[in-house]
Amino acid sequence: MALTQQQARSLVDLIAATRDEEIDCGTCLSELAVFAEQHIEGKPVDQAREAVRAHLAICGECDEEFEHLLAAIEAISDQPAS
Amino acid sequence: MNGCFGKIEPRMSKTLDRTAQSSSPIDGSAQRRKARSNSAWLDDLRSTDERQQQALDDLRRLLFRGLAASFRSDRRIDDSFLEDAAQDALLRILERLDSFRGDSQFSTWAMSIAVRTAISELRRRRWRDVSLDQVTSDGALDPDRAVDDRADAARTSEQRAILQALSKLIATALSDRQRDAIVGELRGMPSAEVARRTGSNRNAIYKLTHDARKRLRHGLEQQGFAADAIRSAFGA
Repeated sequence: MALTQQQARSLVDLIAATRDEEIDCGTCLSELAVFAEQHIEGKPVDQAREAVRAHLAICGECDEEFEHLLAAIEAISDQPAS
Repeated sequence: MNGCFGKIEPRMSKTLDRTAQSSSPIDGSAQRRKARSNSAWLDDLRSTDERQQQALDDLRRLLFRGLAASFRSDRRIDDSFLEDAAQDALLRILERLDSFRGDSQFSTWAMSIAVRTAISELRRRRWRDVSLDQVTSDGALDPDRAVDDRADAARTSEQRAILQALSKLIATALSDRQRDAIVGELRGMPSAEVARRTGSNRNAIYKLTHDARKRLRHGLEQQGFAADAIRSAFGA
């Protein structure tokens, strides 16, 4: 079966958001802890982490991991700081 | 098992069984973890005396607690899965201690590894019996099917023109590997699972799809459909 309307729409959105330079998933992971802490603290995305934000907007898998990480951090935040 | 981790490692390893056996139950209810600075975590985990064992117990308990909260709504998850994931993550964390830069809390960094460990295993189980061919077969784009008929006539026409151009580009401008990777992604197959079936790794699959997206974008631009025009036509 050909691509569904939703899949085609996802492709169009991905193409419109594509940048010439994007970080890969491994690089995103290496920055995700800092990015998550900045996100929780409500800090604006700094220039060093802008590529992470852009990657998360493109990569559904890394974004899913980011959301789970936020929930996990929240769960352990009531314990003494580590 | 996952390209993002750089090397193949045993799944849900029991290598740290001594840790599992010596620790108290990890129900997250009783013992509160003592406060540790980042340097204390590193020192304790690298020590060769009883401090290491205590740190391993504490970290495993912490990871379990975070994972349990994060995945609580997933009905595929039980305590056994979480214990295995925490244990496997502990092994990975120990192997990567030297890569911790210290620009976040150690617990956050460790948790990021644990989350990825757990999700990777869930994805592997979900897609275990699905071939790449099953996912990518007939991945053509049919403009008539993909256009949004609820849009007004002008936008429908613009969408159709873009989709017709895109359909031709998918068929002619992409390699078979690029096409499979893109279609696999659109149909929900994780890049690590695509990589597992093609002898590649997650980073390489991402580069493959990135190159494919750039090629499609440039092809559309050459036909007068820049990103802004695409967003306008599809309301993105």
